Amino acid sequence: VTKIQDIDYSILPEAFTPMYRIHKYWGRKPGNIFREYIKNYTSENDIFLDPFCGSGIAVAEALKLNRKVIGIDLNPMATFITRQMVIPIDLLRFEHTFEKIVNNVSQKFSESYSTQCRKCGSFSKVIHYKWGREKLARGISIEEAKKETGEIPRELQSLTYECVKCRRLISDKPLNHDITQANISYGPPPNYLINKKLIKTLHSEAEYYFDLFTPRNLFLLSILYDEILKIADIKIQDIMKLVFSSCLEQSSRLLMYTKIGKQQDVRSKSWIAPKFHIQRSYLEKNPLINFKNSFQKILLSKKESNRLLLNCNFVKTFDDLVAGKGNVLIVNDSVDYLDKLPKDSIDYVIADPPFVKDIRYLELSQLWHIWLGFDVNYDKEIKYDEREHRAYTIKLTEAFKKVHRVLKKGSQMTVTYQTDDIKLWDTMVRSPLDAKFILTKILPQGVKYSTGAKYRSLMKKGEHKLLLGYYYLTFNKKNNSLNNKSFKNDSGNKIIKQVISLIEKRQEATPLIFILLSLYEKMTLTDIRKYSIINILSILESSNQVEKYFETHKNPLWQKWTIKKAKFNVEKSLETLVKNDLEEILLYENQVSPTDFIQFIMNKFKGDYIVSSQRVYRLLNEISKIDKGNRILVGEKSVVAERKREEVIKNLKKLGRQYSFEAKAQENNVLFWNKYGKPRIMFYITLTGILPSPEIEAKSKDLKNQFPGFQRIIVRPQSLDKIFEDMTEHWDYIWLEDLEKLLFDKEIIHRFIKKIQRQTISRKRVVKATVIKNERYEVDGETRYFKLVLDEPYIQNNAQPGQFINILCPSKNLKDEKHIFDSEKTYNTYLRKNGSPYSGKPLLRRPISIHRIYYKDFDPKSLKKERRIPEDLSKILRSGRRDRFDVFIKVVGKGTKALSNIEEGEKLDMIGPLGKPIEVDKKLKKALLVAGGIGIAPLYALAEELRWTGRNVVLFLGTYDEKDLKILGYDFHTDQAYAMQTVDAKKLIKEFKNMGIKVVLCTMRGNIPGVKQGLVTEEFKKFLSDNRNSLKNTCVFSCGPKAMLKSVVNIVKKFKLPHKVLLEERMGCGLGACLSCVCPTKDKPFEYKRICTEGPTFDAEEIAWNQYL
Amino acid sequence: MQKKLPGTSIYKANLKVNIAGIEMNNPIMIASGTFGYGIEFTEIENFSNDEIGAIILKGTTLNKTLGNPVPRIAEVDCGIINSIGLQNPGIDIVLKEYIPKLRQYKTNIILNISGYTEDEYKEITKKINDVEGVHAIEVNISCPNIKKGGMQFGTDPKMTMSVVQKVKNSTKLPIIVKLSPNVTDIKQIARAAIEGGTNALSLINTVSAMAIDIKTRRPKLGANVGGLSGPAIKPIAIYKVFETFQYAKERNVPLIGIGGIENVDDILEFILAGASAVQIGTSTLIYKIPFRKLISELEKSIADSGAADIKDLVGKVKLNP
Repeated sequence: VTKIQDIDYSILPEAFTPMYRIHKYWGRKPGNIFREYIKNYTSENDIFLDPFCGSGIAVAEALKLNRKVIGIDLNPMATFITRQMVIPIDLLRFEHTFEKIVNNVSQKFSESYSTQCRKCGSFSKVIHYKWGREKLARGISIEEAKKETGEIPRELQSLTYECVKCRRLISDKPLNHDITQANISYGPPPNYLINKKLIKTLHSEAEYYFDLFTPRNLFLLSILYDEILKIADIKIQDIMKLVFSSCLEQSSRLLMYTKIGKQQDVRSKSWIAPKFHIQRSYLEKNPLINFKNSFQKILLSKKESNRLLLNCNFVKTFDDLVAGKGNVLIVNDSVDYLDKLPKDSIDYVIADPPFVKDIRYLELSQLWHIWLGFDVNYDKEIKYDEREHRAYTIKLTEAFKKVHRVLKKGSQMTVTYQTDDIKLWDTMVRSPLDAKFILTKILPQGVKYSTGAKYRSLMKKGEHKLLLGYYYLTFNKKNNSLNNKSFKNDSGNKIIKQVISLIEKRQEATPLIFILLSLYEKMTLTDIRKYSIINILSILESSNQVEKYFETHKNPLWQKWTIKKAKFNVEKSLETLVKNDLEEILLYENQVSPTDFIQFIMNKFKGDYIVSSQRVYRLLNEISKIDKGNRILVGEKSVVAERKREEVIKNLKKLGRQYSFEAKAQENNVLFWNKYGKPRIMFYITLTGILPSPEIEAKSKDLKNQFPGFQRIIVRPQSLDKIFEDMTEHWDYIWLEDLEKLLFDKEIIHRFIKKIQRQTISRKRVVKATVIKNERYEVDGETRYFKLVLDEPYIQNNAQPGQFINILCPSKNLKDEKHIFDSEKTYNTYLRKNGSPYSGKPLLRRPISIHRIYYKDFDPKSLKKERRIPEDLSKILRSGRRDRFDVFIKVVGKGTKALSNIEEGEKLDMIGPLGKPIEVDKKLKKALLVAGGIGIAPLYALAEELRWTGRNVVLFLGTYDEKDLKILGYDFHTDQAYAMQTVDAKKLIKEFKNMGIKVVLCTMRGNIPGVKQGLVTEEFKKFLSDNRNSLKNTCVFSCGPKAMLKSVVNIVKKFKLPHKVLLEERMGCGLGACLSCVCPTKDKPFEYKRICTEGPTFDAEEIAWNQYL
Repeated sequence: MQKKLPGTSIYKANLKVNIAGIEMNNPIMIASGTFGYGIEFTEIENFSNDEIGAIILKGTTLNKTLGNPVPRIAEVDCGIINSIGLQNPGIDIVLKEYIPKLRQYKTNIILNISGYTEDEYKEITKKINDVEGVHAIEVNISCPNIKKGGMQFGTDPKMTMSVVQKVKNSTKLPIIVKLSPNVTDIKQIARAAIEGGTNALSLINTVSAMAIDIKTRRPKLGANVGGLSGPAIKPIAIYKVFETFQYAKERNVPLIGIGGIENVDDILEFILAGASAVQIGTSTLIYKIPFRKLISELEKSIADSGAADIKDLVGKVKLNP
């Protein structure tokens, strides 16, 4: 059993995704934090329990992670919401049912909610009515007026409607028609609501449930609800009930409003006050509009949950859950239900106990319970009441005992809560301890960063209380409960000692909350039992060594404590450390969101060095400002840069040694990596954007001439991209963040992971690429090969060697061929020249491999020289800008013929990048490329990549006849006249040679001096035999006709080399949907794999060659 | 009631159709085999399944089927011949791995099933009943690319009726029978399927075809022969729909037209011939149609022709006397 490490860093909450906005509920915690915890403490198929599941966020998160889940809540509404959130719903049926309901009821609604437009006189739908307190006659008090009807008298004051003709919202005073419409009798409330009294501990004007609604809305809502009850499909009916309950709040008299602009313009606000308080003035909102809004919200929510929760099957008993008959058990009961479970059966628990002051979950849920007909067991509720604190503690302890029993030995429970009350804090720590749990970790979780004005002003005022995060306490169920670090007797002094050592570590006054976190880490269970927070506070208060910091804080948890007469070293203080880190990130990152900044700091500063997210945010604002959407450093940039530069040099030296380079720094921004006494790589480190001086340029040029393989590299922050844009000569450059990643791979976690994740999801796109150039190579007056230089940013930036694009062939260029019978040419002469006559446009897209990707200011010739750069580094170095790409195509049929006719400046419709890139083994030293004819096309991109990483490459090219070879490879003919004819070839082979690649050429037919006549495979075989002893770390890559591939496979097999083949096949969709382009692979029995999706590159061994015709 | 397109004075027609209990937001369906299992196309940026009336998944058999040797596809003038041979992982994997992933889309999911024996059809159908997320079943009795079963069921009226009955009796889901054009009288088969209890008919499947490479003297397909699709078969399909329409209409069985649809005009042609909905296959595969655009064009186009609802045009071809 591997020991699980506790999560030891604070996590910033993320906003609720649509899935969690399914329905209103209270005290909801961020899903991403639950996710991290569940991921950390459980593995797949473990059983996870949330004994107070509320609206089910932890339940859903655990399901996302494929855990088995038990969610328990006393509130039937909570379990109802949870169920509806996780259950898969047929979205289409949901929408159609909704449309039907709206259709059926809309007549009634428009009758009751209609008025005449004051401007054009047409009938318009009312959005809402505003009711306000009636002006009473002189001498009558409200109380007297109330006695008459039992209610504050209210009158219709204004209304807002939407006129279809005037096309706008209009607010105005009511007409007589509106007043009569509001006051006509709508009949008694529906049967199921009559006699339903509200259970309430808080004062409210409403006594009966139906008092919460106006008669009109009550009538309309009941019509709506009757429609819902008619739905035959129970699943759809249930989710529709949720839509209904979700709109109850907005349709009730609890709705507050805010005035906007003119007096009549009002907008509704949500039900903020956690009580059934009917406002003196309230809005009567059209329930159908509310119903529609709720539906849209829930549809979005279900769309997300259907996508994320692929497996969700409810079971009714724990045994079924264990037996795997399903994966979710939702129980509407108190924690007493746990008594029914066997002991030691649960793997992990997250408990979010109910205690928030003033919020009576059950009582408030009556708004939904009563209409939906839920029964509630009020007696079993654990509710917090300040006056009955002790009783609450006991109840909670009892609950934790039940949890303790069912939890497996050695497993964890995390308790989460939000409070600033020291007494409650004590309860939260103590009651699990009393239930025999062991405390292992306390963490405050960050507060969500917000850009809102309210947030900013609270931050300025230092109102931490309102911005309090949640606390996460993790407990363990263990057998032995004592560890050795007991403070034993006289712990008061030990506590003070610990506090002093903590403050000295941090070099600053420290808030009580962090003191507590640190103390709990070090104290034994006995000590924690012995010293409540109140005890600890009194020890601090009575100590003569520590004192309260002069800045007093309303909240004792955030009150800072300091050592008496302390003098802190500002340079070493936590504040400075955090600031330094922030400055450094800011130096080269200006588009990161504050959340990423804060999370980065919180990952790094933990344990005794913990800082609150609010503080990081404050510091971030202190040292930076926002300028045109970018966050930039305020103040002295060069000072920070200087410090950073020193660090980069230090780390580059370290890295150099790792790759056995000698590293030497020169001046303050140049560093050489030498090998055998020769400079190999020169780094120029600029962090403020100053370009290399002419002297440095000259020197590097000098060195470049002197030593083969010499590289120059500029290290710079990405934010300086623009400055370097104009550099004419190609410098290899490396982004600082990439370098950082290389250097501190493990330390910098979150930021980079996020970034990399973003990069790797490169989706397929349908794009239009511009043809920059079309180079045609003719044989006997007909185009046989052509190379298209294309420009399409998405493709060239994302494509990798081995990938391909699917091109839609233009049809207009075939038009001339319709006239073949008109000319004096006979049909047969035409045939001989052009192949079969074409009619109709080419249909299927043609899969074409990426031939070459161009890098700006980069000449592949520079790859000719010896080049030894560490693998990791070289990949990063390649992050230069790409600006074009090539495809190289042989004319074989209708489609390619049409493509060959395309002219410069025209656009080509294509999808890409498709297929998997070629994977190159890290250890690879030598690559042998075997190409048959046009099979050479994808190998160029691969060869360039291989040469870039310093691999030795040999190319074998075989062609059908000398005409092909003339185009594909000929560049060394001695006969001047012949060579002249081949100028059009642009010498592809020469380009290979320029990169320092050895080339072996063959042709099956035709006699060319200096070129072997015969099969390329024979030459390849000969090469392998001759070099039999130097084939370590060698890999073969081959591409060409199937017959050639088969032959290469047989040869390579004998030499036991790894071999990758690039396959081609007639293709349909290119996305893996149509299963046209498949190849047989050796699963037993063989199975067809898709070349467009699983390929086009396969390991040769994977293919069932015997089955492959 | 005609609705105006937002911001314009152009009217758009209602496209909602109900085909044998399958409620669709528009009459556009994607033909089986050209869209995989509904998730492959979503890898294209901005491509959404939500706009499509219904998606018909790849033909699925009871057990895993390997499929035919390559080449499986060949382009000919105005069309494509394919012979995939029903490659699929078997019904169990499809129901477990693919169907749950499709629940996130607001569209009808129709599973196309194929079998080698009548009992296989029945068994697959029963398995589908246990899963949430399939809206209808298309019974393929016309696949030309498998050696036994498949088209055999679709060319003999007795066998058609018997297999349709078996499927119908095993499920509550609406069923669609996909007809083959490779018969002497398609009405006979349609009649058998209707008598067997089908809720709708889709027609046509591919037309048996062959192409030969004159240089190598070998067929262009690994399986030698295959099924032709694409614009080449559109006139055939229109005729088959027209031929079947009157009989099916009298028995309240809607038709789904398939064959070479490339644009809005083609769709209207099918509707006029008697189709209540259409399936687009080959074009989906080639063009990755932006369906939202196609649908709004269809709305406008129908409104332009003077109809407020697509249903008003079904079978409204004006025959010459």
